[in-house]
Amino acid sequence: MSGLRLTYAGVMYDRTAALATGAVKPRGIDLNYLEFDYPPHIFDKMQNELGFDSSELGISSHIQKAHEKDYPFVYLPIFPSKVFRRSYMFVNKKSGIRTPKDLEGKRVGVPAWGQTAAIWQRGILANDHGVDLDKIRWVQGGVYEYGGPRGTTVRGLLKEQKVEPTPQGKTLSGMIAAGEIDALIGANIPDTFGKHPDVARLFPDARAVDREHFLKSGVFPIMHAVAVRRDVWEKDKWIAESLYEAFDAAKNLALTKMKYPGSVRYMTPWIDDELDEIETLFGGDPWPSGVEANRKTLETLMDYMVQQHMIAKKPNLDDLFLEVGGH
Amino acid sequence: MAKKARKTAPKRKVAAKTTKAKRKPAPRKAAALRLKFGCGSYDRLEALWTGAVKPKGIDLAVTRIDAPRHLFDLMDQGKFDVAEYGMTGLVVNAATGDDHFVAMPVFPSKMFRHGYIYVNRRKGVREPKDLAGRRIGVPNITQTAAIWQRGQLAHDYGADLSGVTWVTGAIDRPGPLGAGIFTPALHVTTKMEKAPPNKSLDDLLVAGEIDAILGANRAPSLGKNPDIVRLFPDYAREEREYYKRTGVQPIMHGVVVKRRLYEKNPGIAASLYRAFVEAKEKALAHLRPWGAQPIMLPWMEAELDEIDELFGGDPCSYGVEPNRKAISTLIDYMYEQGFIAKKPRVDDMFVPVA
Repeated sequence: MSGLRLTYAGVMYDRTAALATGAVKPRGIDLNYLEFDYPPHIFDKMQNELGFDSSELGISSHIQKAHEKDYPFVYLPIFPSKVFRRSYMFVNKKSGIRTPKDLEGKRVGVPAWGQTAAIWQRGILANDHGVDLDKIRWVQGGVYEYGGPRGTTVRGLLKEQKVEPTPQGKTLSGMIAAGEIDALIGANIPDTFGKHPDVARLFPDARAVDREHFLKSGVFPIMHAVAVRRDVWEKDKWIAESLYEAFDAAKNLALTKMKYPGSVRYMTPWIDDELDEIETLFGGDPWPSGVEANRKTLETLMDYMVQQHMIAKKPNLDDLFLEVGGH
Repeated sequence: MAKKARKTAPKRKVAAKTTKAKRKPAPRKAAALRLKFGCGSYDRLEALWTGAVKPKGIDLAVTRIDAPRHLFDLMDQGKFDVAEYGMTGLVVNAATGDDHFVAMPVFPSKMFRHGYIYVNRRKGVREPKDLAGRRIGVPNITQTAAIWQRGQLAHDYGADLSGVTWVTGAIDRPGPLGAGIFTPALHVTTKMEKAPPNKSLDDLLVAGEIDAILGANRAPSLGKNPDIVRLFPDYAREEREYYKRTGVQPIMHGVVVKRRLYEKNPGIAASLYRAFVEAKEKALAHLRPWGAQPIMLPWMEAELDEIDELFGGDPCSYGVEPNRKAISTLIDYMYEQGFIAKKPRVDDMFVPVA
């Protein structure tokens, strides 16, 4: 029995693994799960070449571009990557930065100014910690290898945003250790963290601060959603519901597996404690599918994007996703 | 406190690995020894069943069973050549000279178990000492988790459990847990009775017919019935303090190999050990991905920091040396609790794997 053959490119997360092993099969679809270790590789191939039928893809680029003519993707309200991002903000201890406010006037590295993680982090710094983002000088480039976006301004913004590229041959990870930048935000942990004594977290107890804000706001930052090529979807619109159901089922299976009591499923020694917290804070499911359960989070991201001059006004959230799951 | 390097630079090559291709069996070498291996579905063993790690010279056929007691029973019945196996059984075998199996210093299951002790609030058990003389449910008197718990209650909290009546049965359903094949002679007087055939330990605890439960399963009534609570409400803190104080991460399961098979092919121990280590390292690397979280723990970064700080980056160490204190502590507990008449030497318990 053969279904419609579709490729999906994604990182191997617990919540999607059942789609790779075949333990969960989307109805009517023969899904070929292409496993990647590093999301930007997926994004490049999907955005530049439409290299897959479907893949995980950044959420902020979709919010920016979904209204454009000939925009090639439709999105499902499935969110494979969500990360609390305070633990991904670093400082050089000698920079004199003690509190978020101290970032004002400093040089802060970021791998790509427009990446979703950085949007969240700037929004958090500005809205939760009162940081004036206009007073930060941005240095853009590769964290581990020299390279990354070139140019001295970020394109596609409503207001010019100056950035300084990393000097020839330098990495952000090396620069923060050497004190050549004062801080670093983004989706990566510099490889000098834990090795170089001057590289430290901006929030040493990021978990407690993230938790406190989550309790107030209910926001668990979304990084990626599942995108499908529009032309692929238009030929077989039924695949939206089938994929949505399968991703949701795979997620539920992973949650059940994680709660196995006979031994720790993963080598995190205090997974029980984490599971207790998932019950009390997240109602048993920290990764809910669908627009409704993620509305507050996505609206917050769009607010941040307006503040950061990435979009003129917020699009209607419901227009950004295919109608699935009875909505 | 030296932290391990958190991430290394990403490989530039854009290599998509299709799962289908990965699962295609490699051309079989004629000389490979086919071994049946039974284990639980843990991340640290995963590469062995996907085939991402293959032990040299061995064609490993993996059966996953997520019911440890059942898995051990199957090994006792000869259904596997190699299997994950309860530490209690392993120590008893060493102490009694039962030589069906040889053991490898591979420990797929280590767990802190302070959080798995439940009490009925109405029965007046407020602290460990209140357990003296009570009726306490336990799935098997020999269950490794329960031996650790009894030892810790006695040594760390001064609870006198000598007068306890142990009520045995499954926690979450009526009936016994497992085949009950493994019941070593007890060298101390222990009052034991079986749970009524139509009641689970959880039922008994809710009804107040027992005062507490020890074991390795969550009590289904926890969080649902306000009377059923953990003996240590702040168990994770208790467990961390225990680990910081003692350096002991309680071992639940080891790995055993049929002795006859091992004696015919002594090289398999080293080959399997290397594969176990490699599979675990793959799983540890997978827990540290590129800016996204591999498993649905919202505060994964904090977990990873703690793994670095408390466990030097490896929360599931293999080999005799890093586990010597945990193994000898378990042996001490088993001796005190009457499961063995003499203590085996830790070094005599495992085959060489280097």
